[in-house]
Amino acid sequence: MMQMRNTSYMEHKCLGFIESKPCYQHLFYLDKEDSYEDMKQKASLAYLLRQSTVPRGGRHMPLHERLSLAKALAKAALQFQGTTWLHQIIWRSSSIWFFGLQEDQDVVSLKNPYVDAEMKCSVEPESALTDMDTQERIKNRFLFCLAVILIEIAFEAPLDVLKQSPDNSQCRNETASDWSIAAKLSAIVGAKMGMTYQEAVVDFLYCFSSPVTDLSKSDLQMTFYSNVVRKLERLEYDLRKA
Amino acid sequence: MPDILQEFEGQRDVENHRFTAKLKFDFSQTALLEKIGAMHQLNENLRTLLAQVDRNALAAETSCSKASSQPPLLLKRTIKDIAVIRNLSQNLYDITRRSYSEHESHLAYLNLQPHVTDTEGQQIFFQIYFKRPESQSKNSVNKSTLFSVHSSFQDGRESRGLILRGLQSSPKAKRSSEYCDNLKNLSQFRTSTDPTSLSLKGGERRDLMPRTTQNSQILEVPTRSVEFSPPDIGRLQNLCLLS
Repeated sequence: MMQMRNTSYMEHKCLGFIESKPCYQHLFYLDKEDSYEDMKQKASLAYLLRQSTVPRGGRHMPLHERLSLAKALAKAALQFQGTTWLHQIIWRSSSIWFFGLQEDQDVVSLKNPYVDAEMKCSVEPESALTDMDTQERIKNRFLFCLAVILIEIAFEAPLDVLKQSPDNSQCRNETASDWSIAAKLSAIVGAKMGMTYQEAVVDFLYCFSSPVTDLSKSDLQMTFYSNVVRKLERLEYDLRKA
Repeated sequence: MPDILQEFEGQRDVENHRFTAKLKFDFSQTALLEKIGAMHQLNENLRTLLAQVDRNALAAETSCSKASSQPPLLLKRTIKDIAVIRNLSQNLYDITRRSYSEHESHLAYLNLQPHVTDTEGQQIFFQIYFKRPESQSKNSVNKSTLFSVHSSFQDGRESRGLILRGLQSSPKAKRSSEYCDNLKNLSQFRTSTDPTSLSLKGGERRDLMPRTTQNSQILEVPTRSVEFSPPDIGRLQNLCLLS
């Protein structure tokens, strides 16, 4: 769709580059006019999740689409962690966007996720998490946010909706902290998406049970890749094969 | 007497017929046995091959299911490639933020699935959508811009990407005016079927664009440097002019 691949980028208008440096070069291409139509029809993941909770008229997110999205987000988390694209926000499902969505489609395609980032002349300090309990208990905020997104994808509902859901009576508590809800749901997420998925969520919540919590360390990155990304890839492969 | 003779002749014919039939059966039996033997052999071969295929499939399954079974070197390489994406994306953020200098802030959407375009993992495609905040774009006709960015990274090794050779040509060549002049000069050339190169009238070829993954072998071959480069849009001071 909008994805410009190496086979077609030469069709786009080349604008040039900015700030030529010995190590880096960024060559800018202006996309075609028809891509702009797709950009107008955008929706955040939070919005889509909220829509899917509507009993009638809600749009369905197929299991393979959700699994594929979870894998894509886990991989992207590893690729963009520590950068301003993701680091300046507490990234949640409301920060993840999809373009070119059709209103009349019953099934939502979750391919090509985008993340939004505000580009300001002055960089502001990062905002903190709202509740103290969560702040105190999480080992890595970035991974905790990813775990929450994966839980939301699995249950097809935003966390605030899950807090109030009668289906999750054991977790139902509007005053409960994000951490406690996430921890409780992580124990039952396997019933929705399989044990591999559950293990990934638990790994993110408890930072791989590792004493190292800094994701900039290559050891933790390797654990992340082999324990989560590869396993989710395998799960996605198995699901497609089935 | 003639009756006895006829009877004898008749019996002989029957005997001959039986003998012929038996002979035919014997020959066909041999052929059949040969065919059955061949089928047995083929069956054996099939059984052996199936067992091997199963073993290989099982080995592949096991290697896939064991996430940690990826060779450590390959895993390190993957992590290194991921680091390249991280560094390039941060660099891209920094330069675009500096380039959008006219307005206080812009909203950017980055595609979370960057595309690696070379086997070395040094050239990445990002797709970014820039949007001026609604509050700042009320009187603007073009409120948004969609860019595809081909980012390349060089870590001290010899550059294999034509894009780098092209862009690292003489500083003079980076001037936008010279780029325009070069564009004018293109009219002298006959366009070839290969969109990444131009053919001179004398049959000499000049590469213009970076080769893609599919053409990665071509990258290994020393090629003539490009005599011109795309314009340095940094000289436009800011990207706000485009949105």
